[in-house]
Order: sequence, then structure tokens, then C-alpha cells
Amino acid sequence: MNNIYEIPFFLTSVLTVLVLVFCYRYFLENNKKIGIYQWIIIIIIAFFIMQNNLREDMFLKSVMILILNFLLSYAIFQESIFKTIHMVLFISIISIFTDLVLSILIINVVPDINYFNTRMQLNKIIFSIIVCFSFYFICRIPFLKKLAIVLLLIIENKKNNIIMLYLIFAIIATLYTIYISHINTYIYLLIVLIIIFILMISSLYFKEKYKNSLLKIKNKNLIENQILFNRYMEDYRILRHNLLNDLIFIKSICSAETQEIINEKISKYSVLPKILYNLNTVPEGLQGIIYLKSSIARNSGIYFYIDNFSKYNYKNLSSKIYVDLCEIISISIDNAIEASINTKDKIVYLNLLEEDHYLYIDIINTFSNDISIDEIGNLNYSTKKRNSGLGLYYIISLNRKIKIKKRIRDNLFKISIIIKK
Amino acid sequence: MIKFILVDDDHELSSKIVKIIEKNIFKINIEYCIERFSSYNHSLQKVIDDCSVQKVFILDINLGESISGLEIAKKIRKNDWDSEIIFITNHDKMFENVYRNIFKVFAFIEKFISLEERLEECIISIINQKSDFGKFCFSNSKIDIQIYYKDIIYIYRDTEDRKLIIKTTNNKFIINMSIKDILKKLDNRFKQIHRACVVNTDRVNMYNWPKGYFILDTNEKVDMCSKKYKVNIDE
Repeated sequence: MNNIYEIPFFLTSVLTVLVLVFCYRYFLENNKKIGIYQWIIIIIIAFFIMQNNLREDMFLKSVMILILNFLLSYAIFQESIFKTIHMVLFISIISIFTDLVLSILIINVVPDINYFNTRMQLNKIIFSIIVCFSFYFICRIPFLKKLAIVLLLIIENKKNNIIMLYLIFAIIATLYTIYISHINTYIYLLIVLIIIFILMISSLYFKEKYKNSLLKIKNKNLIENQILFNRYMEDYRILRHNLLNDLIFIKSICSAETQEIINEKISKYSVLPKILYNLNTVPEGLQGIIYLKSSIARNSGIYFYIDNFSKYNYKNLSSKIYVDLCEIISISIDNAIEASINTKDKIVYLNLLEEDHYLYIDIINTFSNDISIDEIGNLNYSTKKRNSGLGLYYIISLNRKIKIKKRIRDNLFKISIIIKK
Repeated sequence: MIKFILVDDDHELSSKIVKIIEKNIFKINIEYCIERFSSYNHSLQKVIDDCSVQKVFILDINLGESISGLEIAKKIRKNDWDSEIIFITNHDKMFENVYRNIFKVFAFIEKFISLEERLEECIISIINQKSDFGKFCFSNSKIDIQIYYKDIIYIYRDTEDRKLIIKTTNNKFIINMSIKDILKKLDNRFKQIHRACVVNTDRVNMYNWPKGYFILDTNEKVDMCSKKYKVNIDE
């Protein structure tokens, strides 16, 4: 380098660093004043940037710029490392973009590029100053600031995705530096696209694999807990039953005064347990649906009661019928809950039983809607006056192997789901 | 004739219940018979299927190895909604409200708490209650409907939709039928009192023919009363 250009080069570097500092301040929304300490840092970093610019290797040059940018931002604004890295990468993308656009513009606007090449050092200085100013004004676009903040928020929630994005960015940047020196645009773009595609696919694959393994562990724990829960509930039921029987027996041989005390004790133990269902024969998926719906019903003040006297093995059903059955039961219970919620008695009753060659699932509920007998089960007919009417119509036509019968008896609406065994 | 069907595996308690029934029936002087079962079997199913007499089932819920009283109740209610069911239970009342409504159970009586008094009350009220099991039945390809006559208050034609509306104690049923056709499906208590209205005369408290309205036992006032049809009520 000629000595005559050293001072302008250094001043250009200081200008670049100053612009970067203003940009970081704007994006980080950090109003730290620039004092002596900060000026010292700016000058040191500017010196290193100037030295780095003399390098021929584009890749190392880019990496060094990123490191220097990070040190600059971290030393001056002292934000968290993650936030600083995010802002450094975000601002670097903008600077690459500015650099690229201006390069293309100059190549297209300047008629004789050889003239410029002969005055290389001076051109570099002029180009750096133009880039600095353009970069400063581009960074002031409010949309970019919003984008940076939104990305930062996403980082906090989805770190893995953002790390993946930054990896992609790093690969693109690396390839860009290679492109500048060696290969043509089409091959470069193709490689970038292929790498992005592969990364996306592998990211999805690994994410799903991870989720699946987590689900398997959770399911295993849930099933174990459920078995334990059922065992404890059965023990509890027997104990409560025996305790009450003993109390009643003692009461029958006591004086009237003592009987009153025992009555109080009996009423204390007669509090109804919330869940006492015998659903062991029902597969876990269907069990989950029934438990969930029963909780929803209970929270709405509805008496939800289940009788299960069937020992049917649901594994005999094809997976298509089983999935459709789950959907039908789910929709029917939803309808039953909605219909019974405004009634006086608020009852939903689910009965699973086997007879002859059929499995019956009856869902009975109280109701107090106006019912059009000719239209019930039609598309768009709803007793709730919403014109949705999809539930009943949908389940009737869902699977031909699952028969559905509807019956009204006074204020009770009954849906029977019938499956041939 | 009234038939009491007792299903209980505890013979001591079963005998006690028989004595209570006999004591009360004796006072009223009505023809009756009592059949005792200790569990569900083929003979009991035969009794359940026989609909020729009025029946009162007194079922113990816990029947040892046999199917429970609750299941027997379901078998009864499969076809028979007219017989009365009384459950003799220990104390677990969690299903009482549900079964009372869903399976029309007359009463749940606790074994150890004033069994005699409660059972007496139930038997007397069952015997004294008017046997009124007449039903309006309708079925099409989509749905089967059964409504007790005693629950239907009145039926009227909606002027907009030109459909009949069956007004019951709790609900309204909209049906595409003529007044003439629906009258054929009802019994004598239903009379036409307006061009577009049929009423359950048992549920009417007062007719005001000059002003053209009637008042129901629910205190609802309905402006559908025509002098032209007064003769139907006077019959």
C-alpha cells in the first residue's frame, strides 16, 4: 500500500465503524453515550478493520469482519451475547446486500472499468464511503428495525430454528465469497438452493424424530400412570365401600344419639368421587377422548356418567373404523354436552355394551331445544339455531360400517352407535 | 293386577321386603303377586318380556356374582318403559341422579336407613298413581320419537312454516303433519279447539271461549280458542 493512502484508509475505517456503532445503537435501542472508552474501542477496531481489508483471502476476511463487529457491539453496548450475535448477523446481511447492490450498479454505470482498476486504492476509498452512507440510510428504514426485533423475539422462543437459519446464512456467505473469486452465478445459486433444501429436509426429519421419541416416552409414562391410577381408584372404591358399610352396621346397634353422630360421619364419606369409570377395556385413544369430554362436561356443571359392561377387544376393529369411531364419539359427546347444558337436569350418559354380534355405544342426554323432526340430521340443520348442523350430518355419513340410530324419548335424546363385531 | 318382581341375593332382606309389600297391599285391597329372584336368569328375562301386566321391579344393585341390578334395569328399559323400578342400594348415590332420569327409576332406597318407611311410601304412590303410559310415537328414516301423552300440552300449526308444533313440558317438536292426521295418533284427551290447535284437555285449567283463549296448568295463556270447536270440549 502506498503511504499516501494510509491515513484516508484509516479514516474510512473509522467512518465505517462509526456508522456501524450508530446502526447498532438504533437496532438495539440502546442510548449509551460515546465517551472516551468507546472512542478508544472504535479506533482500535477501525485499525483492525483496515488491516483486515488488506487481506486477499475473502473467506477469512469475512469471518474476521464478523468477529470484529461482534467485539465492537459487545464492548460498547454490553447487551447479551445472543442478542449481540443476532444483531451482528442481521446488520452483516444488510451490509452484504448494500455492498452487492452498489457493486452491480457501479459495474453497470461506469463505462470503462479498466480506468477504475488502474486507480484501485482511491476507488476503494470512494466506494467504502458510498457504501457507508448508503448503508446508514438503508439501516434507518423502520421496517428493518421491526424485522430485527421480531426475529429476536422468535429467537427467544425457537432457538433451534434460528440457529438453523444462521447456519444457512453462514453457508450462503461462505459460498458468496467463493463465488466472488471462482465460480459462475448459476452454479453458485444452484448449490445454495440444494444446500438450503437439504438443510430444511434434514431439519424437519430430525425435529420429527425428536418429537416422536419424546412422545413415546410421554405415552409410556402416561399408560403406566393410568394403570396405577385405575388400581388406586379401585382400592379407594373398595375401602370407601367397606368403611361406609362398617359405619352403617355400627349405627344399627347404637343409641339414637350416637346414630346421629355416625350419620354425620357417613355424610362426610359420601362425597362423590369425581372420576370412577371403568374404562379399562377401552383403548387409550378412546379413553383419552372420553376422559377429556367428561372433564369438559363436569366443568360445565353437567352430570357425566359412564357405564361400561363391554369387554370388547377394539383391536379387532380396522384402524379406519377405529379412527372414525373416535371421531363419531367425540362429535356426539360434544353435541350431547352442548344440548344438555341448558337443561334442568344436565345429564350426559355414555353406555358401552355388547349384545349378540354387535357393539353398542349409546350416548343419552337431556335437551330443551326446539327440534324439527323432519330436518334433524340434515346438512345445515342445527337445534342451536346456528345453521352449522355439520356434526350429526357428518357422523351419519362418515363410515357405512358404523350405523347410527337416533331416538327421542320425552326430554332425552339418544344416539346409538352400532358396530358389527 | 300388579306384579312385584323382587331381585335380591340377600334372603333375609328379601323376606323383609315381601312382608312390607304384603302389609301395604293388604290395606289397599288390590290384586297382586310377588315373584322372587336371587339373580338374573332366563326366568327373570321371561318376566321382563311379559308386558301383559303392570309390574314393579325391586332390584338390589349388588347381586354378587350375577349381573348387577343396574344391568337388569337396562334390560327392562330396552323395551319396557311402563314398569316401575325401585333400587335397593347401600349408599353410593353417585349414579342416582343419572339413572333416575335416563332409566326412569322410581326410587333409590337405602338398605339400612328407614327402608320400611321409604318402601311403604313408594308402593302406595305407585298403586295410587294413575297408570298413564299412552305415547305419541312417530318414526321416519332419520329418527324415532316417543312422547308421553301426559307430557304433551298442546299442538298448533305454525302460520309461517305451515308445520305442526308439539309443545311439551320441556320442549317443542316441529313436525310436518296435518292436524287431522295427528289427531288419529292421539287419544281422547286431545281435542281440537281451534282451526290450528289441539289441546291436551287434562292440562287445561280454563277456557275463555268469548275472548278466545285458554290457560294451561303451567299458567301459560294461549290465544287459540274458537267457539266453533266448543262442542268438542262439551262432548
